[in-house]
Amino acid sequence: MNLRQYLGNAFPAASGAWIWISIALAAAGCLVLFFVLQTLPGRARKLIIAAVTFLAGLFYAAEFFLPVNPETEENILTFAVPTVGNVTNVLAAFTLGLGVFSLVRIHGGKVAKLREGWENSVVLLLGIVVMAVAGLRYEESRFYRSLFRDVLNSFDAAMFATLAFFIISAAYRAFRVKSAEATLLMFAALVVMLGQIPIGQYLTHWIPEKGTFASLFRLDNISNWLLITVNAPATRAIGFGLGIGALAIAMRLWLSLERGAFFEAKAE
Amino acid sequence: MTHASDRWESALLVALLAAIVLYTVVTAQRGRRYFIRRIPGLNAIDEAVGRATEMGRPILMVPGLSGLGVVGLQALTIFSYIIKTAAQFGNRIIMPVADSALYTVAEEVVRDSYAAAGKAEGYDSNSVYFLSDRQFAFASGVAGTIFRDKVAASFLFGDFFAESLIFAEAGQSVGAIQVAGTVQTTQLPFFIASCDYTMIGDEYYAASAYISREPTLLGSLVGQDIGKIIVLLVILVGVLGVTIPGLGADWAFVQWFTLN
Repeated sequence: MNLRQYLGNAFPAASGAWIWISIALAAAGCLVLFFVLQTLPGRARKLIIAAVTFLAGLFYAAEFFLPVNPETEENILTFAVPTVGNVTNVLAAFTLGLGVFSLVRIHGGKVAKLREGWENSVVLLLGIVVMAVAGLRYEESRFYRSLFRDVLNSFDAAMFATLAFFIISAAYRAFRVKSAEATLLMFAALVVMLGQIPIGQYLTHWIPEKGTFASLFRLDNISNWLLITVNAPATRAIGFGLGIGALAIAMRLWLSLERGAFFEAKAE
Repeated sequence: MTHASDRWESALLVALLAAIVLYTVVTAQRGRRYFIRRIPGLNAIDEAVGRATEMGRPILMVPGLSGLGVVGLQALTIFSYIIKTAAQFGNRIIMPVADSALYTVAEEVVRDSYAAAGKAEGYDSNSVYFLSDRQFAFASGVAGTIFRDKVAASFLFGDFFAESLIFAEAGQSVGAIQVAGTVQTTQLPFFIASCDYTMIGDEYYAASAYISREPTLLGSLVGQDIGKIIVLLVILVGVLGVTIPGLGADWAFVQWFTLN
């Protein structure tokens, strides 16, 4: 019997009233665990956090490194990946409630004390209630679709559109010729931009596209060279550094080596 | 689903890099001293906090759209240092968060940082708040905060996407001193154009080691650098192998690291 079958037998799928009983038992178990954790001293709590972190990380590491069955492309742990993912989603759902509580606390307080800008807080609180009710009760209604598509998406698009103006002001600062590096950057950007637009390509269209030495000086070829031969390796080099950095910090978190940081301070 | 058996050579390289990081961490913990170079962006933190004190305006810290992962936790580690410094001078801090899971941890980090600085009474529970997990709703909320509160200093560390320039330009327009760092390479040009200091690439992960000078973190940083040297050597050997006519692209070493 493999692990999947064993777990399937030990925890058969619940149906009917058993689903609600299982949920109630799980909730009660969580509450008991929560209170037990609260009563433990800091060092013991740290030990438990470290053990749970290690086991959670070990699951994914083992799932990655264990050999797989060539036919199914799965190993003995692969079947559990969606379940572990669901656990993460459930935890995230709990924290979303805390996030909404934070919004209501701050903006509710603002409205209650009529602080400056309280009218905006009223709109925000009303927005939360209307969207929640419409989404939960009238998801198929035209009203909800209109709120989502005509109001929320339009606001998103409007905010995204402001980027066009911000890019101009940022580009102005970036391309000001104030040093040798800035001048080089300005010329490189100019060539790349010209190489991407029809009028820029027209300037050197009389040079053969490839096959001759002169082809190297076509604006679109210089632009591509800058993007592929200069820009891409630099970006990849940064990517390598980031990948190794992420590996190092993941190792520190997994093995609870992150001393002097938040979790250590909490335990002391 | 990706597994080590898909590309054993790559998996072995990852295991080797992890082993090197662990080795340098352990040797650092046993007393070996390591030197790390200066990171200008981190030196600017004290300058930015000092400026906010002089101007009597708040300090903004944004972890971007980071969730509760390595990027978000690293951002909080950097913010923790900034908060401890700001708490000493009684600066007001603002930290809007886009991820509800990170929000719960951020609230604790801010409270503990005030306590660690000996200024527990300076903690304001309204200083950390959840805004929205929608990208542009969060962006408009943060930009509004920057304009309304006219922040003196803005620290942007974490995962940023299209909203990065909205934050950075909003900060520019109110004259805030800005320090940024992100793992999203596509957003780095925007930060470089709009911020006073930007941490590029793995400087983001080096920040906590530089700030705390804690042996574990210093050891880890040195391990990272050794890892980078190994990757560089692999690339160099590969380039030479492809260039030498006798070996070429069919050489087993090159084939190991060639993506099909």
